[in-house]
Amino acid sequence: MPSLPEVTSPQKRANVDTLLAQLDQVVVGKQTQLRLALACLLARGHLLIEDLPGMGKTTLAHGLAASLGLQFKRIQFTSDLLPADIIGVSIYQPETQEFRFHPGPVFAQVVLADEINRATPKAQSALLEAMEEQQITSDGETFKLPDPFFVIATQNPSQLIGTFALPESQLDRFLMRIEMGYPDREAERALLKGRDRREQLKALRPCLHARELATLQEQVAQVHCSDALLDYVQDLVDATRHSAQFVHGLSPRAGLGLLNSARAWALLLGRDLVLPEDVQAVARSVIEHRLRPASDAEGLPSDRLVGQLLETVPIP
Amino acid sequence: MNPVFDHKSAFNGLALCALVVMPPYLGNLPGWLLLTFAGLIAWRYHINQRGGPVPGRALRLVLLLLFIVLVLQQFGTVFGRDGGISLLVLVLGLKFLELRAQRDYMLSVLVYYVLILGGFLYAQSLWLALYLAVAVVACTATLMQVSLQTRTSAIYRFRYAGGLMIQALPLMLFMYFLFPRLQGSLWGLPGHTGIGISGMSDELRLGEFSRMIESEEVAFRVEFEGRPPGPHQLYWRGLVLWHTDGRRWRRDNTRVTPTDSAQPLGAPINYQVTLEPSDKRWLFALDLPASHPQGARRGPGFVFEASRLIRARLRYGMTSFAHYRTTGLSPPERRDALRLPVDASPRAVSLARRWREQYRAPAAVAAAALDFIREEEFYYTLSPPPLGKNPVDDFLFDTRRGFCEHYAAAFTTLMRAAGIPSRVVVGYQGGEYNPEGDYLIVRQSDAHAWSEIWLQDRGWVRFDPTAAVAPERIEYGIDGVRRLQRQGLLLGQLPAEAVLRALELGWIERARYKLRHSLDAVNMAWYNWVTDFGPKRQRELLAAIGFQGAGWLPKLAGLAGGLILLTAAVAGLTLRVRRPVDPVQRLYHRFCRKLAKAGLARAAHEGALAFSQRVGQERPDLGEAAGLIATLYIGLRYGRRATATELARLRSLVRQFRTAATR
Repeated sequence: MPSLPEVTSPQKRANVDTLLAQLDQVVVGKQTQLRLALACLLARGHLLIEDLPGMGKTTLAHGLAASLGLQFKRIQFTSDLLPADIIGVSIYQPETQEFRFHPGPVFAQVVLADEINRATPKAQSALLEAMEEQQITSDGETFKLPDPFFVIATQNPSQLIGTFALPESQLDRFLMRIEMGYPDREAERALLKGRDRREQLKALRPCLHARELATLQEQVAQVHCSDALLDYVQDLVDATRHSAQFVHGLSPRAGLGLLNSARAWALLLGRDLVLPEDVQAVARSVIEHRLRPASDAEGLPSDRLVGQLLETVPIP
Repeated sequence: MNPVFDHKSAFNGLALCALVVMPPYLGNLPGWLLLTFAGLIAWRYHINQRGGPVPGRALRLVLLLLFIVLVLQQFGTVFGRDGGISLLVLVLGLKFLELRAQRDYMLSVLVYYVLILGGFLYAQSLWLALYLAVAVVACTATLMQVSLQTRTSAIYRFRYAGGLMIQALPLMLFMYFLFPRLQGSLWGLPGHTGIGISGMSDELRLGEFSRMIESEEVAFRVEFEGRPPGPHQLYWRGLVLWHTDGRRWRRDNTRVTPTDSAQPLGAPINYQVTLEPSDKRWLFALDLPASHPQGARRGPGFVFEASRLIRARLRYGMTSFAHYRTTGLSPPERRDALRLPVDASPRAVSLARRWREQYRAPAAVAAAALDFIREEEFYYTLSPPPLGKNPVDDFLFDTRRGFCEHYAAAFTTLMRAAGIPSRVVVGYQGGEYNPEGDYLIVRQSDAHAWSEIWLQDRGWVRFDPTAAVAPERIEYGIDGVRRLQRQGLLLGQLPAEAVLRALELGWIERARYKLRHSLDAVNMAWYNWVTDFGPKRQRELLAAIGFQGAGWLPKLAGLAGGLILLTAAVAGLTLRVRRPVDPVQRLYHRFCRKLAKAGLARAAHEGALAFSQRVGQERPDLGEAAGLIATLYIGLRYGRRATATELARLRSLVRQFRTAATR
């Protein structure tokens, strides 16, 4: 069977595979989520992980940062968190008689915003602005955030007590939203038998260097999308706009995000062209949190709605 | 079972649909039946609210038998319009009790459609049609609600159902206007109009017309070819009354074959009469008719009688002449036209005899009688005082207040007493011109009576004594008279300018007339193009679009051909979507069709790679070939450039691809 044309060098592919295999040791049985998270990073998006506490959200974020050899900082969001706790604060220096900016935890390549919906909207928006602009302005001075800059936010399902749901406009800043889900029986057994997670995390060694990561990110943008594929993406977006099941359709930004994610997904699979299957693979993570079911469709969970959408739109 | 099927909202939809579908039956079906239907729905609603079991099979069966008995008792049958629809309504009510699965709901909606159609069996008016169109949309929306796999908003459903209705419109019009028509009215129904029929009676009893004059109902409508004649010529002849006992005037039922004939003078007037159902046989025509309505018999005196009671609207074309000379008064007719009851109206008789001696010539006597009415203190009123034993004498010499029938009866009596053959003619006079539809509306209130006298050299000549006392009645019609009387003016001695001033209309009145005329015109158009759209009208329409004289068969063939062409066009469009022009797509679809025949159909949303992997799993023997084709296809369709050699390779691979097991 002839293989499809590949762009990534075997070396890099091997590195990516090692990375995924290594992470799979830590976050057991979540290969799809791992791949999606990596694709999100490659597509230069930010990731939102939603699930109950203790499902391995933090482990995934930490493991990803460690395996990529990136700086990692964690911000625990609480209801009394202030914007300055995130972006940093200017402090008066008696010796130089001036204010000096002390960068906050957001100045890291991988930032884990843990339980983002426990903080007040003010604190949330401080982070979200930083994500959007990749820079911070404090006291009239602008500070660039590091590159790559990847925010992994986790949130508890909004039904839980003590949460401030992220508004739709802010959800849109996240390229993907994934759910961890319970591990299957086999994976759970491996988890129970295995070593302590914290130790394992410490033992992780970087598999990709920062420069390799940057190259991969550039290559994502060059993965080929044919007209036939763009037709399909447009059909999908159109379908959300004309369906009575959603309050409103997808924005152009969402369409772009869908395409970029599909590119990254294809690249992870070693292809330099995007297939409808790639779009379908990332669609749920990219689309679902941007759509609100129409009130009439409330009986149906929104993940089923996206599944239904994918099943009703034919591939041209 | 559909995962999103929601019994509660489906039930609500069905119940609301009943509110839309049933109103046309109010007054047409017995009240107990509609109440029972509503009760059955309420029962089910109660069960839904409280929970609890639906009535068992045995109870439902008992109810069904009970309903059949009730309907049989009411109508004597469970077939036909009333019996059939009644039973259908009750059975639908029972269906509410056993709504369980989705198909029960769908079946109920389909019964609603039948009930909507049934509404037309009772009436065919434009308003009903518009209402029922809305009902169809509501039903379709409900059908969508109970049958769709997905949840939709009510607004979306109604919009969609309305869209479907509009899309169906061209086909409906095409079928309606061009499908060969059968003879008969729209539904071929016996006339069951039944309501508010107030036709003209075949007797004139002093005091009877006044009741008709109160009625605003339309008697008939007339479309003229060319300009309508002036009000002085609008005498709509209905019946000729020969016999009197001094109080009543009757027609003659003994003679059936006319002996009279007319010689037209001047230009003919052609027109179409659309007669409202009257439950009588008389057909009305402009004085003096020269043609013959289809299917009607002409009696003596230029009157027409339909062969059956007129219970549905009737349309006929006529030709009349405003100026004419008649001949052929047979001796028995002359005898009848001179006969007066013995001892009746002695004062009138002596007055008439005096005139006859004084003036000699019959025309001069008639003129004297008109002068008498005009110059003495006679008044025209719609509420005359009652008359005593000798009505004509009482009227002529004492009360002197009356309307057309008093004047016509008195004048005819005077003429007969003077030895001049004369008779009373009843019908309508005038009418209201409707500028919106360019036709004349003649109402029951336009009923009129006048006289005809026989003059040796001219035959029967019309004399209208009412015109002598109240020219306003002729000039402005009964509507004008009524408006004058409402202002307390007594007709008979009014100066002309006072009349004109009194008749001026305010803008509200004018707007009211305009609205009334517009509505009437719409109704008339509906009748002409829908209710009365029979074979004749269809022939006219076909002739107008170039199918001159085409018979039944060519028309049918043309229709079938048209439908085939239409279907072909639709199919062509659809197929063009299915069969892509892109050679790569065409080849790939061919490959998919081959697999579909082997039981491996590709879902529309299934990507080529995913599909080939599935093929490989289900048919490992085909996996390699399918994978090869998928790879080539993917490269050609989603890759950077498609080369001719790859296309050729794909073509040969697809051609060679066989699904037969090679074991």
